[in-house]
Amino acid sequence: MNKNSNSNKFIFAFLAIIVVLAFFVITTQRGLVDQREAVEASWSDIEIQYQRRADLIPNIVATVKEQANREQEIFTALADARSKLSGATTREEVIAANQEVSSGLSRLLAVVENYPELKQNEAFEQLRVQLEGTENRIAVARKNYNDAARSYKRKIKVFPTNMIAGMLGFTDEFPYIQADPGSEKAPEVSFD
Amino acid sequence: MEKGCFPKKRVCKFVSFLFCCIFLLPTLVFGQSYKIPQPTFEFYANDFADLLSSTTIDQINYLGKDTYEYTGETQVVFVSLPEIPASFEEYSNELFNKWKIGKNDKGILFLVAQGEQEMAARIEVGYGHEGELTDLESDFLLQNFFKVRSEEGIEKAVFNTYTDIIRKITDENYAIIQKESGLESFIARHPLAVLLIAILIVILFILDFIFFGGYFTYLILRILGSGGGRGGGSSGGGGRSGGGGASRRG
Repeated sequence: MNKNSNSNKFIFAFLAIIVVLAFFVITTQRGLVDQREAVEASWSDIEIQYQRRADLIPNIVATVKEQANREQEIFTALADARSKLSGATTREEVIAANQEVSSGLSRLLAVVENYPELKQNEAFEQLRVQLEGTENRIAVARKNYNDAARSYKRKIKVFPTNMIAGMLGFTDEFPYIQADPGSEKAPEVSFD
Repeated sequence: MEKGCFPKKRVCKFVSFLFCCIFLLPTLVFGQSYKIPQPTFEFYANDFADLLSSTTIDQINYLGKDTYEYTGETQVVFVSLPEIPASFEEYSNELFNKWKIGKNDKGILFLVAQGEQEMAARIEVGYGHEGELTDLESDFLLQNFFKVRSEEGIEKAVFNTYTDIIRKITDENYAIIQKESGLESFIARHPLAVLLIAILIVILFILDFIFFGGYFTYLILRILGSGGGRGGGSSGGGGRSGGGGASRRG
């Protein structure tokens, strides 16, 4: 009798541990799925904004070309970056192509400073405002994406979630997006 | 028994300390990058840089409240800052999302920062109004803002731009909102006339008490009492912004 109740206790304890573990695995898995979805969603937000910017490029180039057709090299670089973007499949490729787009656009805008008649051009001014708005949306989307990715990465790396993440195949597939070089710098104001 | 419990308690304390470290550390490290102020009780006019008179502040608060009541979801909030934040656009977006301006993401933030040499202005548009108020249109309103500021001063410029935004997002219905706000702005604009009317009313009340025993006075008080007053505070409706809008410096 005594022996029987002891083994019963053992079975109960064993079952209890299984239930607790199962519960833990299930909740962790759900949490991980939610977080991965959140990163995916913020990634598609940023892709929309990247696309929006890429769609502005042909118009900008066409407007600038009218006044400044000497800057052929920059136009080619922008066209290359744009075709790379449309051919990009992985996240790393999309990010790299967009960094090229960014540097091409900032070179273009720097060159425009040399063409006063272009700065007065109303069509160009409108495109510039749209580009600024898109760049700002990209900055916001990038911050949201990096934040979501950071918290997901953290979750799959820390104990004890990392064991379950490893078992169920949650991998780190979200590269951080660095801010474009130069874009964080405040614009210089000259008083001359 | 007591002795046996003691180390357990210590273990408990240690474990909870560890937990605190694990869970609180990330919030300290990746906390907010800016100190965002709390909105005012009225919510719509937040003149932290002291650019406006109390009359204009009241007008903006009434217009903002009426716009929200009329549309049921749109909140237009004005904020002025005494200095330009290091990253103006980022600050604007953080403030918008922290204050949760607008219901169903239909919020608009009109932010003006007074720097030492220049002034930065931004119209930040929530997701829900990106269709009605595009970046180009926001930029156009800001161009106008700086034009009015150089011609007629900052107070007029802020109020004009604020009403321009409301007009833009409510289309022709702005006239209705403005009409409803009419009494308040009338009081603000013609204090002397209001004083004369008040004296006239007091005289009428006195006459009422002399000839009718205050019958009409009590009647009016009862009607007013059941109607309830306006005023009171507001807060954000849960809106978010993805950085839409435009900024300009001048």
